[in-house]
Amino acid sequence: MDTTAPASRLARQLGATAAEPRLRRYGAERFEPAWLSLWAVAVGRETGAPLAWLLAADNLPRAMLMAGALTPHPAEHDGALVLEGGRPPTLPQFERWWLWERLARPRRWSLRVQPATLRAVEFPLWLGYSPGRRHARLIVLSGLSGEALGALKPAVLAGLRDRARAETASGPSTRDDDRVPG
Amino acid sequence: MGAFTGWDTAVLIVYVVGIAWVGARFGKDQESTQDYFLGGRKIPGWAIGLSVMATQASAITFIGAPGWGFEGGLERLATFINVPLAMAVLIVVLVPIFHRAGIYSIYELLERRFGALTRSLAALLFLVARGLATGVVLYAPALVLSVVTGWDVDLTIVLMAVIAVSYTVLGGISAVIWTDVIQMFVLWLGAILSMVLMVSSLPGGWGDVFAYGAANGMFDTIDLSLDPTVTYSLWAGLIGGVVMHVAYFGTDQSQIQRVLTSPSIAEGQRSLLIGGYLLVPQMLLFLFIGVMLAAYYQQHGLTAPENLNELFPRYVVNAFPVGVTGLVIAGVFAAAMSSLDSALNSLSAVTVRDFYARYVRPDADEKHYLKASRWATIFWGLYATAFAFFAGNLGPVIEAVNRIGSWFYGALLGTFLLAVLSHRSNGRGAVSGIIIGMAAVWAVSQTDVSWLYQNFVGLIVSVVVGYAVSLTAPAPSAAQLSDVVIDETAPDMQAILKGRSDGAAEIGRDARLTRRRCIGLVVWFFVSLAALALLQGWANG
Repeated sequence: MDTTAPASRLARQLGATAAEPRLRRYGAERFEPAWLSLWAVAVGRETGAPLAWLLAADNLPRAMLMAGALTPHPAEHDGALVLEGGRPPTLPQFERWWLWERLARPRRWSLRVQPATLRAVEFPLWLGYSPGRRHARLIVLSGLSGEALGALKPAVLAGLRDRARAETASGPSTRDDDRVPG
Repeated sequence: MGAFTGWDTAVLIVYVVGIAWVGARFGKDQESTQDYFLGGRKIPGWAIGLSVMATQASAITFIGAPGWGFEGGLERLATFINVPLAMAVLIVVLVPIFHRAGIYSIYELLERRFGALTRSLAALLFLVARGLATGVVLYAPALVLSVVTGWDVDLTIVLMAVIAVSYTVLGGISAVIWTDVIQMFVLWLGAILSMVLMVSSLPGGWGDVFAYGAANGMFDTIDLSLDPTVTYSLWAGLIGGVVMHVAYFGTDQSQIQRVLTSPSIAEGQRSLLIGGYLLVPQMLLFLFIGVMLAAYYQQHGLTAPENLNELFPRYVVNAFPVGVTGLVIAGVFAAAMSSLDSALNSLSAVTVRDFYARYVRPDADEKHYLKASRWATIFWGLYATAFAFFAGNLGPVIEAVNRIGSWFYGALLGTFLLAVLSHRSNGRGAVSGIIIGMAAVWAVSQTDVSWLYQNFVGLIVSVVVGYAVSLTAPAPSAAQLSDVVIDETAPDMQAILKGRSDGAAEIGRDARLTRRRCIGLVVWFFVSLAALALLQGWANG
């Protein structure tokens, strides 16, 4: 496995038009696209093709399970916000996460983590901003399924904070993007 | 008619084998699809709804509720009328926090928030309470088997335990949604068929049922008495029942596991929504069958069995056509397996995750843990079997399950609410709250106060004592609060979010706005209450 290889991106399946009403439902008034870097490892039978993927970073409490094939394509600059999700979890950490998943769903007992498949991926997100009553709120929406991903919120907030600190350290910079791709 | 014939036995065997085949067939196909992992994203909502109902209700409702209805009419619906409100509370307050925390067992949240002792104590209470309740769940199909075959119920308990444990250890055959759907159809078919047969055997048909029910006060669902010793008053159902159901669906790992393993908050909330809408009508249906059985027994001059749990199975065996009896009894078995599978699996998972891997063997390999989980399943099967021998003495099985939960639920829920809502509470307070909350429940259980209020007493005492004792120890650290405090409220984060928001695109005003899905649950609660009030008003002239 090569954890130093450049990240590839999962195709954004939810466009701005579809994301807009969903974010509105959660109270957002403004929104923008983003990418969050994560680490993916496949699960499947020991000798079979991957049946699902675990997506995580070392600072997340749990891995996200993504069913089906992972079809990444090379990362290209599209002007969207790119956030650092965290360092790669160790293989035993992935295996332990998968163990707890399997204990909850016994029919998955025969499936194993496939270590050779570990790779960096950029996960598509839509970030919604709600003014809130007392505090501004962030809504994190999956760019794949359109569902709210509360579990990724701490990672996104940490990524935003790191990014703001880096910008402060290097002086004022222009934003990645002023427009939302459709 | 009149007995469980060879044909019925054949239907039962074919049904069980058929369900196993459907489970294996669909399970095999699903390995290459998203449904296998995501619990049926491509499966229609109504099917998921029936699957949720199969896990939540199943054989216990089928056997217990008619006995309940026979004895007390619809009055005990007060225990369940609050379910839509309880689900709304869960959806708004607890589920988003549980999901965001990324936990596999809800008791992990208590460790991060309060320390290892609180987690272990809460998990232990779950194991004891759910283990006992599983004994009641095991007793239900064993009783059916006993009624059908004439064998001693102790023998059928052992037989059912062996089947249930083997089924769970092997991974379950009905782990796919469609087998649950078939089971629910069969159970509802049995319920509707029994209504049709009963009505057709009464000279006055439905008129006799309603006249009998009205004359005997069986439609008096809403009792506004403020007397706390009135067991099924509306207030007992609202105050104690809401607490009981929030705790049952939110802090009992066997119930919340489905939410924790769902891929998104919305999907987790959906299963709760379905339960919120369907549980009350389902309970009403089976309680009403109890009322019909009471009218049937009275009109035919029959004597009810001493154990009212036997009432409905006996009716099915005696009144249903040959073959259909076998089908319905098989449905009861299959549904019971679905509930037992889920309960034994969650007991095993909590044992391994919250105790074995936490204290005994933290660094073992996964094969070891999987083996340990199978042994844990066998242990809990034995524990439940031991308790099942006593379950027959606890009255209607459905109430027995709730009464057992009431010993623990209030204090457990209080601890979770302290964890989530109070940022000053700490481990010392939480443990004191649980212990004194349960002691208060024990004290109340020695009085004539309705058992439904025990849940509320446990909640209030554990929260008040937990908070007060917390003041004697230092406040929790920021790290301990990280799961329950949204870090976006920090001043620097607010500045960052406002900065990003200012530059982000505006969401158009034409975007469709659908707000607060759980308002529907609250409306549903009032609609149900109004319908029952109308029925009661009609019955009392």
